[in-house]
Amino acid sequence: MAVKILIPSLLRKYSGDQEAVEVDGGTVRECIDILKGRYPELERWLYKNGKIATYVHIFVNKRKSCGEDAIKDGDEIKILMATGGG
Amino acid sequence: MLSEDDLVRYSRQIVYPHFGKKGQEKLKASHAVVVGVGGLGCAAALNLACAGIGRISLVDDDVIELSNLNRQILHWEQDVGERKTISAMKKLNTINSALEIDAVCEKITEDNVYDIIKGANVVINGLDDFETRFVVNSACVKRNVPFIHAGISGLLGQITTIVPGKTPCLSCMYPDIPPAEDTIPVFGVTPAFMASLQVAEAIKLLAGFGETLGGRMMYFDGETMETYYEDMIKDPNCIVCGSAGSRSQENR
Repeated sequence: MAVKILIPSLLRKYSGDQEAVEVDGGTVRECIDILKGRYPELERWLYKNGKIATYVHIFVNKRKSCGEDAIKDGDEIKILMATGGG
Repeated sequence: MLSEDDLVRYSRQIVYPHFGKKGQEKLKASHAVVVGVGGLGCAAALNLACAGIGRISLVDDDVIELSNLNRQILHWEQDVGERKTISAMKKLNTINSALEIDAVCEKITEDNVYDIIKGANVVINGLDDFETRFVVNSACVKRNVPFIHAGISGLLGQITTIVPGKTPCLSCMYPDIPPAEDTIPVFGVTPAFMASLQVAEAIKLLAGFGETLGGRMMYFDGETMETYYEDMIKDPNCIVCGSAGSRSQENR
């Protein structure tokens, strides 16, 4: 099963400049965990106290999603971070 | 009361359905506070002035650097080294001399934030950090002033409107403070776009028509030109606007 995770620009320096990463997971959380396993520097941006942080916004096929949501082959996970610049 | 000049100057707004002369009069009688006069704040202040918001307060303690000029459209080459509030106030006075423009050259803190937003009908965020946004969010909730949040990074932007008592506040949305980037990348188009949306929200709130982003966060990804929406949930135990917030307000 192949799921594409789209990496926001502000995190690409922690994901080897990859714009998209393919993973194989059954839920959103599993997919994000696999991503973190490959790129450990992402942990401090994506997680808070062992959970996906409230400032990490995840959309699956453009629909808002949460960690427990099931994923199917061909789904596209978009990560959007809270942006604090002005 | 609108002047003859006002009727001509704002004629293209006045003909808008559900707005009219009454809507323009409401804008003229309104006071907007723009916190932060950088990329978002410059573009927001410019659009507020063009739309005829009667009083605009500009709040920032920073001075202009050359690296600001790719996005802070009220600050020009001649202004490098000048205070941002003064530079922006001069431009706005030139763009629309009928308005009252205040320059507040102060860093926003928990001690002065209530004075800064005093009398405001709306507060528009132009700050570049979450910590100060939370200070303004809390004061706006406690003083019942709508707060229009936006934030940017690179070609990404987000925006929502916080109406105290009706919508979730920033602390409901972000119980965890988002981490800050060392240097926030930005193309000028991103804050210009998001600030335009902030002023669209302000006009609707002040004139009383249309539908705002209250309770919804809109995200814009300029790399793909896609927008995303997320329903934001009010936290009954929020430390600012929930039951915990009420307790802390009583103690204030």
